[in-house]
Amino acid sequence: MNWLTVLIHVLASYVATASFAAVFQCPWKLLPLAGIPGVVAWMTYYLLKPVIGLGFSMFAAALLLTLAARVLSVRKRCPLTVFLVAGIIPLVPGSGVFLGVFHLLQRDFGSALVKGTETFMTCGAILLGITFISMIPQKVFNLIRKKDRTERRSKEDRRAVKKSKKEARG
Amino acid sequence: MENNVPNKNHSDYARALDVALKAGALLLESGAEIRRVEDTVIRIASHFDLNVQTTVYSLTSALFISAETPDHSETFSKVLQVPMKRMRLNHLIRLNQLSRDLSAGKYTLEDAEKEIEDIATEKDPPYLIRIVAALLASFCFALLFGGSFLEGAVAAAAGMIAFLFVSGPGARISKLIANFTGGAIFSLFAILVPMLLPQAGFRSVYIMLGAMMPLVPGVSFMNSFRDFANGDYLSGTIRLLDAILIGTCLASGAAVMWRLIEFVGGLIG
Repeated sequence: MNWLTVLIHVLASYVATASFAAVFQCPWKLLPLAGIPGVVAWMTYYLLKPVIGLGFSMFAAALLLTLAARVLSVRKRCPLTVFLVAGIIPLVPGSGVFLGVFHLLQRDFGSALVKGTETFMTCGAILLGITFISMIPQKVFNLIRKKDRTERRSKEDRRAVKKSKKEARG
Repeated sequence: MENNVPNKNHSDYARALDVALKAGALLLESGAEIRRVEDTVIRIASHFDLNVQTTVYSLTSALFISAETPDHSETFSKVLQVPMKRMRLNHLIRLNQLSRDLSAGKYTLEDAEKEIEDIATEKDPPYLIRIVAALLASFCFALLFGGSFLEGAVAAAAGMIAFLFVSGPGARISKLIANFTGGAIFSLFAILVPMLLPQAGFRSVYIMLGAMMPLVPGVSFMNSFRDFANGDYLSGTIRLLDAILIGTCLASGAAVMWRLIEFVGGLIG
């Protein structure tokens, strides 16, 4: 594995993930950011797979992917889905399901079994990774939220609304 | 007896419930997870004082809601069928903003109704963008799975044409048949191009893996994982089944096309 390969993988996973965000109708201004979780996920998986095997590298990739997506979604104040849905595409075992059934229909039962088991393992690893990061309470992530002007204004608005309600009652 | 008296409150509550339900339905058909749909509906309903005994139950294709007025005099309940559509992140972002602004007290009932109508009738970005994005994604994934640049180019063409079919005419027929045909279309490319250009040394499997990516049910997989993580096992199961069925159909289409070409090649050669 040389540096050129790694560079190509980083670029390809970025463009692939951002394109998927475009397929899912992500707004233009979020598109450059939407590619980042995909790079995190794919590079974790790709670099760790030779070292610790498929299942554990998938688990690590899912952990880091969800973490990156949650940080981005808190910073940008939009649903987690925006960053998670495109970022998860490189990990999703679509190719595993496809190759498993494809081998099965070609009567290559050995390969089909291997691919099927791998798919099952991948599903479990991603599920665990997402669940672990989802368990972290939102308060932890709110610490890194940008305090901007709109928030202050909305607080004032809230106060004004409360006041007017009180006056209406009284 | 009181039913004859026009009651202003009654219609207000009914409209508030409608707003909450419409927001939930829009979220559901745009690809949100179950937890978000239920939270948003409850948040909107309780903002308009429907906070007594409000219960929402959501499946992947239906919404059930029942709510009581604050004085316990009336109960509203509604059931709405929401067919699964494709992922629309722009809708999710706007509805999220709406729900946040509502809790901050920025909207009246009329404004909220207008805003939801506006979101529902929002124009999609041009179709061309999605097609080009599918082409780029196929190319990049062929590279990621270990293909060469030329294999990536063939995969991009095959993936784009398959995506064109599945998202265009395929949207009107059964999803399973559409994906079966999509699989057949890209495997036709993946088999014929290496056959016609034997000196280029194309490997069919990388072309297939790249071209398959735009059709992969990634949204169903992700939502299924997230529903499981939130404890919504029924919806998670439905979506996982959806994803596996679509993957199976893609592979069956590809395998049938492979056999067909082998058979025809055997007859000719």
